[in-house]
Amino acid sequence: MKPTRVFPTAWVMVATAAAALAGFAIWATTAIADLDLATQATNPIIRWEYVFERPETPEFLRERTVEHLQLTVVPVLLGLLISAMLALIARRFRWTLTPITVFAGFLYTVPSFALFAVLVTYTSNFTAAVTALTSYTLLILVRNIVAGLDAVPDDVLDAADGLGMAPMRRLITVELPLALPVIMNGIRVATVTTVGLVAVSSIIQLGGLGELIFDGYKRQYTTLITLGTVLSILLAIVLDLGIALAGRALTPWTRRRVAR
Amino acid sequence: MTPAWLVLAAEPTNVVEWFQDSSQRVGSGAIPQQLWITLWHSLVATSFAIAFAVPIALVLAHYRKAELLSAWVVNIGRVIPTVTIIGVVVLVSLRNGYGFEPWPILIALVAMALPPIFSNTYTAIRGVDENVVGAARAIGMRERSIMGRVELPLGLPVIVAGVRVAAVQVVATEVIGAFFGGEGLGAYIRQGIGNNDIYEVQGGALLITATAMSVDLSLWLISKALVPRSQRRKHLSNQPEGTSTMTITRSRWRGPLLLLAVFALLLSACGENKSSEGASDTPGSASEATLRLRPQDFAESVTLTEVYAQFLEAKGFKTEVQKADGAYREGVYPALTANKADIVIDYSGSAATYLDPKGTPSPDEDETYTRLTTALSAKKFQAAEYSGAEDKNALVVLKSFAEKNGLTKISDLAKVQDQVVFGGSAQCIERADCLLGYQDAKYYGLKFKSVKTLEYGPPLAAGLESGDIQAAQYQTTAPEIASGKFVVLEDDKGMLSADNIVPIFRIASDLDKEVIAALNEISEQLTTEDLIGWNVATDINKEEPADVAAAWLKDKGLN
Repeated sequence: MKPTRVFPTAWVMVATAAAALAGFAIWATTAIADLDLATQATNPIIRWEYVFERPETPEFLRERTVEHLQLTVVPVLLGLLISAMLALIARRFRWTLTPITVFAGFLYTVPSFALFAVLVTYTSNFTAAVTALTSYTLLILVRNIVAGLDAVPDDVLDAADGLGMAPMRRLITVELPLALPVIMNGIRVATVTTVGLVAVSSIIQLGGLGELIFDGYKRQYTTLITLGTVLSILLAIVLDLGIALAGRALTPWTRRRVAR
Repeated sequence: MTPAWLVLAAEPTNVVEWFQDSSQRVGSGAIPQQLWITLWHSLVATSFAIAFAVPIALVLAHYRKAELLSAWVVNIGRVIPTVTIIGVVVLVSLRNGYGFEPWPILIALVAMALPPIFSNTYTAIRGVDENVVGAARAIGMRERSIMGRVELPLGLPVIVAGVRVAAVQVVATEVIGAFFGGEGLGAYIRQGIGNNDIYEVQGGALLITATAMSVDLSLWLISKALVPRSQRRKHLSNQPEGTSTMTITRSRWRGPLLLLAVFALLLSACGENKSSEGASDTPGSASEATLRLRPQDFAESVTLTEVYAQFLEAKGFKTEVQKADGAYREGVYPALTANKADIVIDYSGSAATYLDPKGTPSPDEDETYTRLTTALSAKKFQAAEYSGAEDKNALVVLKSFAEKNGLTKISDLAKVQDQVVFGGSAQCIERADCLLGYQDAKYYGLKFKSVKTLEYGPPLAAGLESGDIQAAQYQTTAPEIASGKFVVLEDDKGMLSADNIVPIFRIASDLDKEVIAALNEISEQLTTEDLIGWNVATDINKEEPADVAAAWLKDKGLN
């Protein structure tokens, strides 16, 4: 368990997608196997003509995906900002680390469903959702930022001090880049988790891909559920890969070290 | 201004009153009962996940197999949204005739709980010091004993941490099941949102949060008792996410009550309750601007609204069909009052009862229309002409069930009431012209075996077919009635009103005469058969309401 190798993202995600597809294919074939042809024609697992022939569908799906994306990106960025401040406070005043993580852990334990519903009685739907989703990113992000900064070797810090760097400059030019891989991992996990939670926000009428799933249930229409599922999984994978690639581009030295 | 409600109980003015007054929960169920449902679902699902995941992970980790899988499992769990799992499992279950409860929700919960338990167990066992395992082997222990008596106890802190994470997730997911034909603590949120009752939402959210916290706390206490003192430090590890060990641990719980208080303070400091009316999105006269039509959230209402809207559009008016967003009258009329919508296509009798709950229902169309217009003018609304097309509320049962028990009238149900589960929407079970009316001694005085809340529309029909419910408050235009699968029980005590299609709008919005003329023109064209035809298209063939509306207008040469 010694090498702290970064997680093999691409493979994980490809395998996930493959497993999901295989599972879906098995489910689809078994579910329509014993239906007569007429029923299959009217209501199979997925109606391709809804996806490919109905002119309004692409626009509809695009809108839902954009809503979903918005509700993912805004909370993660906001959470990152808040977590960065909390992490700096925790670094400066070490005793605050426990209260901060306990509080973030406490927020993380509040079920999203309850938090959405209660916040919406106080503020607008969008604000409620963003507040709730932001609160869920804090635990993951604070923990990773602190761990990343803590992992910077003391020798490096001494060297930076020896060069006469001011604390702020040392933080930005030395510590932050070295902590970046761990921080990026935190952002990835926070983003993927948020994509899943956004689906729940449909109970407060914010659209997103969750709407497809709730609507699909209300209309007992499997095509919508299938589309909602596939699109939200794809969204999570794309965001995860995107952030992983951005992380790689930002920290070229980590690869060089591995290569050596 | 608080929204008009139909609950017979007095309206609470804060969440404390909601908790104190048990009559608030006539529709949504008593707290102990719902709590019990949530807890046993969670307990069964978590136990099953433990029984399934721990042994497999233990063996795989001991023999150093499936390393990659163990690393993937958590991410797979994260990528699939919880809502999806429930939605898929419920639909598959219905399709195969297993009904709404309890299997779908339990399966979904087990799927939720497996990844954290599996990956934490795997990591825990892999993390056991190899020298210890070597020593155990050296003194002659068999592989099985090493796994069970050395690795398992040593890995326990991390395993229990995984179980804690899983259990909290399971509780959080169980409550979402209330939106997919389940019961449990989530029912309060469903009822609260459906009936515009913010205190019920807040009360439900508090209950859910308290339950999740208690589960977390009690598992922490159990883990303390279970884990030997020498092992406890591991439990505290502040492992960052996404690193190679992939463990999920929680920092230790300190002073949770204090934090609860802080959180409650923060919440109350967030300010006043949002006014349910709010500022209107687009103020100003609607007569020149876009006409906003708001449907209720079921297919027939959406199709109807689309028909009117598309016809107005063809006449040269700009229209917008708003999203129904899960709302029925309880959400639509406040929007109309607040100038967030301009026209609502409603059903005369149900609208009249909604606006004036104390009025006497009548099966006569004209009487009902008069009752409606009186009730409307009190709220500063006005109605166009009513249509000949009618979709009444109806108590429906499976044809086979009616034949077996000789049921033709609603009052016949009295002889089989102890085997009838009543199904209705979240709104129906709190309405005087629905469940409360059937239970009212003034009309039928029925005592159903139990009541189940299902979404109005196909889920209700699916519930009847799967046998989850035996009687449903549904519509006379349901396609299953036309095809002979369901039968309508005759309303022999005259509890249900005539329900003709009628457009309703604000007096103040001062609609153009041509708009009203166009609304009346469509109303005149509509027939009850059209409604049935649309419902076959939307509910059975799953066509889109907007497309169905366009096809109908084209067929009639109206667009």
